[in-house]
Amino acid sequence: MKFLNRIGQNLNTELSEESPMMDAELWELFKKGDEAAFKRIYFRNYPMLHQYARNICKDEHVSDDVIQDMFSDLWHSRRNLGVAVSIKAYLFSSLRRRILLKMKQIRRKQVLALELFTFNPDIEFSPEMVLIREEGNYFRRSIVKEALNQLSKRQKEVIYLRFYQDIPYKEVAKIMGINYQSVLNYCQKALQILRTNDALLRVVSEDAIR
Amino acid sequence: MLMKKLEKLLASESFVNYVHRRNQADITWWEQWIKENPQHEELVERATLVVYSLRFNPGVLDERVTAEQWYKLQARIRKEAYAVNNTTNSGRKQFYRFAAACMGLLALVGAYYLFWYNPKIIYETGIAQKATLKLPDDSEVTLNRNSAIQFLKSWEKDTVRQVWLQGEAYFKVNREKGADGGYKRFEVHTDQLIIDVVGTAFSVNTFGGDYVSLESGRVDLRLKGMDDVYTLFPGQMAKVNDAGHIEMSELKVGPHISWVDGKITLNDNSLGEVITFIEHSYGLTVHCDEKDLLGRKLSGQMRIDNLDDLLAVLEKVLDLVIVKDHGNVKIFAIK
Repeated sequence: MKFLNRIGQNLNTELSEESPMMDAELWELFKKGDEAAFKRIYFRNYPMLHQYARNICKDEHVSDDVIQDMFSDLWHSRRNLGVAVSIKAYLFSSLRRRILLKMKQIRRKQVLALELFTFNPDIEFSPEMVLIREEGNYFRRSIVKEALNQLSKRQKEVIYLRFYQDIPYKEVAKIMGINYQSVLNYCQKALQILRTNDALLRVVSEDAIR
Repeated sequence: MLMKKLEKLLASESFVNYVHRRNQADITWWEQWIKENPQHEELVERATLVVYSLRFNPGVLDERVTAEQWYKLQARIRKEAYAVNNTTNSGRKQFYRFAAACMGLLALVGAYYLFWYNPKIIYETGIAQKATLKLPDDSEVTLNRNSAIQFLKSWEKDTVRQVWLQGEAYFKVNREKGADGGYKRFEVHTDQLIIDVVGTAFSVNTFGGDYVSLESGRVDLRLKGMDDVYTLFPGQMAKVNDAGHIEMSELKVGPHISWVDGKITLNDNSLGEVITFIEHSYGLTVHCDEKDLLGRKLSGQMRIDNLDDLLAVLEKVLDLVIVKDHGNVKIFAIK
């Protein structure tokens, strides 16, 4: 079983990266104005960014626009960009900042709220996002979803970035603009809370046994 | 204290790797650790389940959406890049415009003095102008946009009627008897060709390789400085190719842009030819970096009185992005 799992993992990584090119290399090409590199960066990251933007901002038009703005600005200012260790993390943090700014602007038109200063993305998990071995089981998905949505905004975001988008803690810290230790703390706290959720544990153990 | 350390461990990347069976070293380490700490078995089991529950559907985004957004992005970036270039160059551009105006003025003054003592008549059409004029022998010339024709004021003393053409024109030449009783020859001089007729209807285009097409009668032509005479019959056309030789072909077979009546009729013409036509008709510069675009073929009729409409049609038909700005037109492919 373990062996099979590992094979599955290997296959997945091989499939998703047909010809692996280091981020640094790709980034340098892009900065020199290589359109193919730009295209590659775009197609490699667009689906995830799209997902992320949609999870933060429910308005499809706003999120699409923000991504377009970001890539367009990225291309025009490519010569002035620094070194990116991880392109994915760079794009996520840039997108996060832009979306929050945009949402602030939209909100400011509607209500003048104090919470603007402590504005955090509120990611809402949906049952569709949850992966359950028994695919049709909507009930199980809902239990997991409920458990996740009970977490605080920050905890949800850490969980989302680390597990949904599979981004290492270090980069999660960069994206959220907080330090590494805080990310770990949020994650610890979140896992602790989830651990006391008996409904979740029951559902997951049933699913794991099958 | 110990609990705190344990919490930390259970949130570590190493533990996640163990749960998802990702890293052999982590798996071995944790299996060992669990053996050594049986008192935490329940906690570890719960933690495993929680991490295990944090698996998600990657969320499948239709590839078409990604591609669609990519096209939009490209079109947008190109338009923006173009706007940026223009604003940065606007100062220099204005200077060039001023310089060009000065040169134009100078040229006009020069031309005025040049022709003051010369009985040669010169007719020019502007960028959006077409003119039909009578020659001294009552023959008719329709001059297309941006073209010029020169001839002497009077042909009475000449044995040959001569005109000099730049651009594109359609001729209807009358037969005229000379003093000796024979027909007077009619000659059209272009940069590359001398076209020799007696009386007939034909059109001459010197934009992008001179070509002559014949409607009726008969036309003799030769390259300047050469003695070989080529004879053209109705329905044929002759073209000076890039190598400087005359090439004859049937009018209907070869690509041909005809422009009489305010429309152009394209017959399997490439975009490159259409661009040359637009450049000369409207006095514009058209840039197109993608060479393979230039080879795309077009047939059919298009109205040419309105440049914007013409460009819009091209944009639609060939799936292009066309940006127009002052005297410049840029053509891009939608990738």
